[in-house]
Amino acid sequence: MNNLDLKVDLNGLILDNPVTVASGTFGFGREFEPYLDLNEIGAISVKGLTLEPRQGNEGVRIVETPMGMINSVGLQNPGVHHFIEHEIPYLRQFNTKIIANINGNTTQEYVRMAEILNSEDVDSIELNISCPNVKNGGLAFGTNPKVVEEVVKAVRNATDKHLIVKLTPNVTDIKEIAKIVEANGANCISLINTVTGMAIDIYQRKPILKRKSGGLSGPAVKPIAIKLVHDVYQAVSIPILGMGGIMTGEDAVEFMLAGADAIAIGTGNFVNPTAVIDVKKGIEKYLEYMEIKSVSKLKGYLNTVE
Amino acid sequence: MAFNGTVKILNTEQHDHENFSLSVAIPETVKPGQFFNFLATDSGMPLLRRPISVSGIEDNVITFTIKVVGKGTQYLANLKSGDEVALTGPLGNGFDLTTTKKRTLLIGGGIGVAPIKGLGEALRSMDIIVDSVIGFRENPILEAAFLKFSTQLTVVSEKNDTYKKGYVTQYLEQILDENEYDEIYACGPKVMLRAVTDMLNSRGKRAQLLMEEKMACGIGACLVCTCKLKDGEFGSKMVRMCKEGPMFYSDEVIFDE
Ligand SMILES: Cc1cc2nc3c(=O)[nH]c(=O)nc-3n(C[C@H](O)[C@H](O)[C@H](O)COP(=O)(O)OP(=O)(O)OC[C@H]3O[C@@H](n4cnc5c(N)ncnc54)[C@H](O)[C@@H]3O)c2cc1C
Ligand SMILES: Cc1cc2nc3c(=O)[nH]c(=O)nc-3n(C[C@H](O)[C@H](O)[C@H](O)COP(=O)(O)O)c2cc1C
Ligand code: FES
Repeated sequence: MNNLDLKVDLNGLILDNPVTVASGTFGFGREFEPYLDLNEIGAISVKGLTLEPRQGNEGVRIVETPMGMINSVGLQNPGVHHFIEHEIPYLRQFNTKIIANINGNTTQEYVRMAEILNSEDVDSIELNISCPNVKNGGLAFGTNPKVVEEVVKAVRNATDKHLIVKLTPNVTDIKEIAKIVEANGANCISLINTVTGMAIDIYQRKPILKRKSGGLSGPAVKPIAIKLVHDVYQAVSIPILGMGGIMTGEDAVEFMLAGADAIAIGTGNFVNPTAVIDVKKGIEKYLEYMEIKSVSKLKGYLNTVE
Repeated sequence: MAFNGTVKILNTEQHDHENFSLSVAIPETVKPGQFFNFLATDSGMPLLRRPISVSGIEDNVITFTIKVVGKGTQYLANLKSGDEVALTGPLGNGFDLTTTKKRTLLIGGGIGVAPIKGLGEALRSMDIIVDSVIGFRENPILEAAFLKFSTQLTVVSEKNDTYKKGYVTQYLEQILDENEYDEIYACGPKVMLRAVTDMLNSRGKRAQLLMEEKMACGIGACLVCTCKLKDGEFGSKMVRMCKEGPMFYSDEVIFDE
């Protein structure tokens, strides 16, 4: 047990262990402090931040679906300045890496946030390109290769911080997007964000969510995520932070074998507040069982014998 | 602190074809109006935990009273004493019991009488006079418990003629005229809470409402369980039902639609 090496290097962002938590599912860590030791987490990607505080969406914000959930939170958050003043000092008490997840309506907003955070004590910036692009009729930034190039390049120029770009699964060719992200200077790719989904109340004959659709997460999306992580692994050489439906150590190992260097737990935190600890133990158990000393060995370690 | 783990079920009790209670021992201080988040599966499905209010607190033994409405509550209904169940809690703010000194009115509707029962027992043990008005579609549940702690009990049913006919709000006006209450507590369907709020507003009074909303994490992390309150930086304020609530004062809540 003691001689297992759990360290992973995400191209300059070094994690004590590969288990991180996904943006929007862990708040700023405070809510989980009664349940687990935050020092045990490789990194915390905080609730998606915007320049100004946002109140989030009206009406019902969740639909539970088979082995998943559709959310329509709408980026409710206290804004980047509140994060800097109140949440960074809190998180810094713990031995975990801080990832600032940034969101914007326009490229300029993303750039402004990257500039602000550049001089702050965060370990990495995660560029969430699943946001609707106001200029482009509300289509997500991450679905248009040209827009991806523009926003990644602009944010890269605005900061020297370690930069993660978080991809949306709602695209035709994820390899093309991943290559553009790599070519424009991202240090790491995280995926997947939620899958677009919709549910209807058949008796009222109305969509359950006011905005009709929302983001599907949880075990239901895991096979989609595994496939997309593997696609990206084949397309780029920068590290991958994989996520989508991880509940157990076995799930985490599956992501790493598909090509992820580290993983994030999202919806799993809701079902099991100590999921981070349980997943970490599960990975260790697997490594011992397989007699593998270093977790970084798992990346893309598929058996290719026919 | 909150407990997070697995406990053995000490007792179960079937009230009627769809309502039952179960008890467990929890090594934490629990307040009326707080809830626990139950893992209601052993197969992974349904995925999300089910929030259930405490309906009785006796030392460390906590009782829950549950109505079967779907897969999760059916799973809990199938558990027998000796079986294990995973839960997290106590969660939420719970009722404020310090605002009443002499006489309290409790209002409950449907399965919403469950947390109100736990509250009534706690208030009675503090020597507060407790009056209750509880309403049901058909037959009442927990009637015996309410009889025990209530000085005046009004039971209302939409369908069962042995009780007063109609909705609790039809009897509220008269009850409020007859007695002076230093606090009012209510839990039930949203339509009932809204009607109670409207009536109290018109009399310049307010109540502690125990509200509910679909939840995912139950601990304040996911922001899917919002309650809209008056004031705040956007002209209104979205707060978390599971963390800042589920108890809110009727004069601070904005009821949408
Ligand atoms: C803070 C809180 C405290 C609660 N306390 C109690 C309690 O003490 N006793 C009790 O019996 N129930 C209580 N509930 C409601 C209980 O959590 C739900 O009934 C349960 O989650 C339903 O799960 P299910 O899998 O059985 O049904 P599902 O299959 O999820 O749903 C079946 C049907 O019930 C409806 N439903 C599901 N969840 C809710 C909800 N939260 N509110 C209203 N309708 C819902 C669905 O729309 C559907 O029509 C509480 C809810 C909250 C938020
Ligand atoms: C309630 C909720 C809120 C989320 N908020 C954000 C966010 O603010 N920024 C972001 O990049 N991703 C957000 N996500 C996506 C998750 O970080 C993650 O990519 C996705 O849920 C897939 O992982 P999972 O299946 O383990 O949850 C959110 C997901 C959920 C369920
Ligand atoms: S249920 Fe997650 S914040 Fe309330």
